[in-house]
Amino acid sequence: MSSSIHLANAKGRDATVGLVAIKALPAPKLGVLGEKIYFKRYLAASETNTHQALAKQFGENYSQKLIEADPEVDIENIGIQVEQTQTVFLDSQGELMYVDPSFIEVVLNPDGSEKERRAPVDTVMNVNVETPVRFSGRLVPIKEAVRKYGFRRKLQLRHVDGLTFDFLYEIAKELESKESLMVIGTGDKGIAPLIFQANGRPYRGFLEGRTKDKSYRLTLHLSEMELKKPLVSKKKVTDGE
Amino acid sequence: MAKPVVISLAGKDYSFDSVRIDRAKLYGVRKRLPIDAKGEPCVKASLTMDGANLLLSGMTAQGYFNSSGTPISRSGMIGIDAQGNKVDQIPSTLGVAQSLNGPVSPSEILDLDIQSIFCLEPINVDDDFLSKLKSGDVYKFPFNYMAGLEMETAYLVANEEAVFALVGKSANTEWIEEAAIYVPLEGDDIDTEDLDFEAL
Repeated sequence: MSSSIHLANAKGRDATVGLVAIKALPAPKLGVLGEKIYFKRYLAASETNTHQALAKQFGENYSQKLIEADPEVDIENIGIQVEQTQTVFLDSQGELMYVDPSFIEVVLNPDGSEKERRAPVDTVMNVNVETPVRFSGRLVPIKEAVRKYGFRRKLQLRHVDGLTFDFLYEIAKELESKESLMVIGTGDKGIAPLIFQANGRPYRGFLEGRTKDKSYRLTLHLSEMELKKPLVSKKKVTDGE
Repeated sequence: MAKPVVISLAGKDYSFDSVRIDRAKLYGVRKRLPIDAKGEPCVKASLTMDGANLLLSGMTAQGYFNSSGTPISRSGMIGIDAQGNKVDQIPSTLGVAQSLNGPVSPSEILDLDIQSIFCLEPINVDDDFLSKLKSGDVYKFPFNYMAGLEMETAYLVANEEAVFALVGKSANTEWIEEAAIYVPLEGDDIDTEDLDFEAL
């Protein structure tokens, strides 16, 4: 993810500033008091112990074989710790592929049904490029924004020198006075989505500013969804009527 | 069916059915599928670095081990906070009335690290309370969908579509002073069209 954003303010002045993810403090974890424990991945079955392999070797009804012996357990390999691995692909015949596969993009409807298949389009990061992310000029009152959009991610804008401190502090102060979030984005109008890494998820950006004495908090709230009733739930209500 | 969300305000209990929502449930989802030279779907797998084992889905398991390599069962583990103190398990709040606090400032929601969003279908809610929510009042209450090691906070909001619970924990945002340096267009028109989330 980009650790910087090239941002233009309402007057069109631009600067590149830092971006830091905002998270809650870490939650308590499961453990054993006074003892360090490790989370590990290990081999639970090898290629010869899968259902498919056993069915191929003994036929579909191989339960008696499991009672007579232990063909489902590979004593030599089970339990081996799996650390780094390499991603590979098997073709439709189950053979290892030695060239990269092609990809298609499948679009699914909210109910899981297939909508369309198409060639995938690669997207590029657009928040720290030559053209800055712009203010759209559209202010959304906080009271309205929190009831309309689901903000699942947030990033804090940080200054990188004295000049950008003034730049961000002024933005924060102005937004605070309006008790609103400024929609920011890419494109001429500043309403196109923000993409923080190549082929990353596109988000709508809403900038919130607060100040306290000589300090500021400028938070970029990211949303990929509105607060809406899911279609399945809507259908249920309609059916009931 | 999960137990209902039950909240209590001024001596009255209100209950809702809950459905967790995300982008896929509202707009659908895009997936990239690998295909072979014949255009047939491929299977993604992993190869161990020594090339000895080809790992297909379901061939690995994971768990906790002590320093001598002995597995530790979940039942033998307890919650431990960042200071190394024991933390008790907190049960689910579903089906148990939780006190509603508010109305609170809508800005509080902006300080929440939202983990999940639920759409709430009223089961037993009076119109007066619903109209307060729809007019913009925001309330909060303790919420744990499943038993866990800490209690989350849910903010109750509503719009013309439905009632929602925005669930998460307080976000860790800092005030930035000038000394805390981070190291690493003038629009012609103000666009008034609705923001398009479907096309994202």
